[in-house]
Amino acid sequence: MKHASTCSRRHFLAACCGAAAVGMANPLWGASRRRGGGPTHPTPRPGITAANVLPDSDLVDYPACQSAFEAIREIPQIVDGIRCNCGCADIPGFYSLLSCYEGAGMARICEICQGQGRLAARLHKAGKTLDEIRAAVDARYG
Amino acid sequence: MQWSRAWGVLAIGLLVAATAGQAQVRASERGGTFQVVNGTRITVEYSRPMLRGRSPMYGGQIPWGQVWTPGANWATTLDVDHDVSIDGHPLKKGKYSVWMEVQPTAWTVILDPRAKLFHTAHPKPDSSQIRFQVTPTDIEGPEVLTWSFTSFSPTGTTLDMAWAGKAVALHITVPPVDIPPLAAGVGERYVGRYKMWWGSESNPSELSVSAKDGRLLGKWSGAPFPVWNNLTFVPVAEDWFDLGAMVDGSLFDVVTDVVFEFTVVSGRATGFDIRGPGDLVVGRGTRVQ
Repeated sequence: MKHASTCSRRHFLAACCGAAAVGMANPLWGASRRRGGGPTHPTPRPGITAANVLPDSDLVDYPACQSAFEAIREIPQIVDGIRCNCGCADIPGFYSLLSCYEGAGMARICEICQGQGRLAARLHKAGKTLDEIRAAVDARYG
Repeated sequence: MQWSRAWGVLAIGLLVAATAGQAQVRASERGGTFQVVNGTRITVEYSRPMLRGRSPMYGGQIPWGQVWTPGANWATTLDVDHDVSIDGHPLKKGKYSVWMEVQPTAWTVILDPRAKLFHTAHPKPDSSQIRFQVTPTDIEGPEVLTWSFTSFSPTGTTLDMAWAGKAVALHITVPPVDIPPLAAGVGERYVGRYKMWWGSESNPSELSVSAKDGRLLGKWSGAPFPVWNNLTFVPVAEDWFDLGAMVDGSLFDVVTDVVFEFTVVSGRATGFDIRGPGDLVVGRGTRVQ
């Protein structure tokens, strides 16, 4: 796993290669990765908590994702109102981005799940509303 | 009762349809290929005949003047999910059956919007069709009829059909890249020179940002490859941009895994974070001028 401290201009090129793969499925290549008009975001379930978010003891083998899980535990009611854009939203039993951090813990290995969670937490901390966070998540990952 | 060859083929086709779903070997197995160019997906699906010693194919097995689908069984199809042009002829988004009228010199390519046609159902000339001439080239082989995308650029691709010593190249042009322009004056907030670090690099590279005609452009001194020397910033959201590489003034590649997030204070960018797909900071920049 590459951390920020080990990233270089060479890693940027690796990102370029990844982008090429993303671009294959992107009908708006060039204009943006963002498609817009996709599936709607879920409504946060009343009383939702982070009780089912995987504990740190389940993340021992995935140290790079721990900061994302920590962030999610702080804002379950926000993350439960966001649809995950990595494709896992079609998995039976999935409800929201919060689901990625529960059960099988897709977010342990998926950078998109992690990125959306971190972005949501960052924007929430900056005072953005759920709708603004949804718009930002869609702009970046949709 | 007198059965023509066409009726015989039709009967076989019906038999095939009746047994659809059962595993079975086909003399001309199904195949296909696709290519995405600048967000336009171009797909060819066809059955792949083999020569099996038949010769000559053109002017022999396929008589001169006959309309033939370059495939077998059900007509070969070409599917485009955006409007494109093919050899200069506009082609609306959709799925078409593909036919060629073979002649000793120039062939006529026929694209018919009725995509599901059996190979014996040669379409009659019709105003809904796209028809144009091509000149086949002589090649070696191949034994198996093959469609392939032999080259592509940001603006288009070349689709080749090759079989039995002949090849036909179809040049497909896709819609141009559409970068949404920045609102008037917005680009000015980012204009300037920045020192840029990737990860833990101790030696920064330099990024010069300029604005022109609603587009934000960059010159990256120290880019890992020359293709990234000239950049365009593709707007994602307010103060957020994807990075595009420019070659000869045209957009060549857009990186969507990383995003540049400018920090704007009092209407002027003071620097930027470069964030990877996990939203972690993988690079940063600081204004120096």
